[in-house]
Amino acid sequence: MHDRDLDDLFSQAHAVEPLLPSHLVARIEADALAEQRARATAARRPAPTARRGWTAWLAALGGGGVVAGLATATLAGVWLGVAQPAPVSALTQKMSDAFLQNATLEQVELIPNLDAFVTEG
Amino acid sequence: MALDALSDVSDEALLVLYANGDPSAARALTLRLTPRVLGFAARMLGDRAEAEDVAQEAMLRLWRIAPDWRQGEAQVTTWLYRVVSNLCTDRLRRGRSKALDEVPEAEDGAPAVVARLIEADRAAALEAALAQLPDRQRQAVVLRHLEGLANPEIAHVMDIGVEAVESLVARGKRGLALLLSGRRAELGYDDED
Repeated sequence: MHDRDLDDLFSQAHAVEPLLPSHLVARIEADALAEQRARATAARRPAPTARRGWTAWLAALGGGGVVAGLATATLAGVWLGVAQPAPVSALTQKMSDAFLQNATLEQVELIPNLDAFVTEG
Repeated sequence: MALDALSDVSDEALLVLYANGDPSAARALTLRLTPRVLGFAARMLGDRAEAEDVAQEAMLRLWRIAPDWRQGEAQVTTWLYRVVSNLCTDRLRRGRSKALDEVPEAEDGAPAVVARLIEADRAAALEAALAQLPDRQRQAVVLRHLEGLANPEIAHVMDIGVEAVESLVARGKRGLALLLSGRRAELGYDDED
């Protein structure tokens, strides 16, 4: 068989458009429309509902990490108030004395021993 | 949108319309692309029912990728040929393809009838010979000479280099010539030397 015979066979076969059966068109179109409907349904699906109750309150505060920080700060404040460590009680004493003597805030010496560090000599 | 209005719209634009929910784009794409998909699958598999299944599966994959289609990267037809090619290769590997029927003998009759029979014989002979080629050679020959794709496009479909395509096509044509060499007279080529 010569090349030109083969080319003739190819051109004849190329010219023949395959018959498109209607049942195949129907099947393929049905697939296409089903895919379209599925995507449209997914797009219309409502957004997840908002959280309610204490989880929503926690979220409004900034989440679990922020709440943990707040709780630690609160406990530290309560502990300072109850235990009254010496430096804190000295400070509160100075403040309360100054308040009782009607002194202004500028007159309260919060760091009384600073002079020892700035003395020349 | 009416089908007539979509006849001048490119495949890619139709795919975008389809992804946007236009049902007429689905029909236009089906009618435009399925004949090529079906023809290629039928020539690769030699089985009409299997070719229809492959065509439906390939088109389903097109519908599914439509929303994510990256415009300008590949032609829709090239992408489809590649999908069909892979689906056919899978089926051929599974050995489910059936052998083509024997080529029917031409019968005596009026000249016009004889001419039609010769034409039918030639088509059937070509299909039968194609079916005897190795899969890759058949694929390359069908894409080049029956689907009319350029070699670089075939290289993309088959995921090989252009030189490999040229080699496959050349070997495929030599194989076809050899397979059909004994049937020249039967196919009406003996008086054309």
